Amino acid sequence: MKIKKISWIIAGLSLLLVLILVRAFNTNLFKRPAIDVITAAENNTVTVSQLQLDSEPRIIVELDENDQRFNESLSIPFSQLLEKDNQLKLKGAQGNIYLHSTKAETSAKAWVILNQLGYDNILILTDEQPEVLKYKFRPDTTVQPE
Amino acid sequence: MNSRIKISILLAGVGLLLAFLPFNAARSFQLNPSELLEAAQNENQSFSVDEVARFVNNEDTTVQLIDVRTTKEFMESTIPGSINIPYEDLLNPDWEGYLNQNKVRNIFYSNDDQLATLVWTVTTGLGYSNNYLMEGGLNEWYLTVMLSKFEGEKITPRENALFENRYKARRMFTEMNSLPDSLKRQYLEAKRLEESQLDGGCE
Repeated sequence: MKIKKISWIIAGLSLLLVLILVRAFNTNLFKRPAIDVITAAENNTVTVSQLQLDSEPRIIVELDENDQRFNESLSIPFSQLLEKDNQLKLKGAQGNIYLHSTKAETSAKAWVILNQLGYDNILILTDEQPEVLKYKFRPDTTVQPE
Repeated sequence: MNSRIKISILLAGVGLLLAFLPFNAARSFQLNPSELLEAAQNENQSFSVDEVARFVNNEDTTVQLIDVRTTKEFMESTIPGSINIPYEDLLNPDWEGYLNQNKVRNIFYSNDDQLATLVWTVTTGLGYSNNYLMEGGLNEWYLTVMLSKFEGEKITPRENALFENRYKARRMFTEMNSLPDSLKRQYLEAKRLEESQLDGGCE
């Protein structure tokens, strides 16, 4: 009777362990805390001019389907970012991976997704330094507070 | 086997499971990668600066503009009616009420598209709904709303409405941002208070 009870406990724990292992090795889940994106956000951008200084090996991933700009780059359209073949290519990449798209939103979204999938060597490649306000606000000194 | 041994075995087993559990106390994305990628490809997730100007002019209560730049940048100039949630502070539980809700459309903006898009992707990944972007950020706002001029000879009614909308938003932007810092702070605090009261919360 006692052995039977213990068997039930062990069976229950085994089932739980299997579920946990399935979750742990499920590639279709994000595993990182969201704070990682915020922490890395300030240092994730490299401009094209800075790229010339970067040492190889490196890989440039072009996210636009019909707009290839760099020689010897890897074309992974944004919509196919999670396809198994593309993930294998990214996982096998040595050195930094630079994401490029003519639309800043596309490369930023791809960067967050890959960051949360556990990639550490991902950078956004842009033509110019992003997030610089190009205009200076000139206050109207005639405005009277009500 | 006595009950003590049984309980010990059970606790050891649970301890072992917890050690393997990929649990993280910090908040993590609720959407899975495929869901987030699909959401990210949806084209109806942004507003043009002209649309935002119209929301500002109409004091549209169905939208909330969220400036995700630093507080210093926000105090220098911001779009009237915006609140400031600096991106570094995005996961602060104090902002949960603004970000995780179903009542208003949150429109994120920064100086251009990159930072606001990072914020959009994080909030969407966390499972929050009603996230939008202002296309081109403040640089586009300046270019289109603050600096554009009509240079044709004959203006159509449609162009007239467009430029009137821009002119009105431009005037409001200039007036609010020309206030001394102390008054601007009061204005923004009043705005936050008004928002929290409308939301049924308290300050």
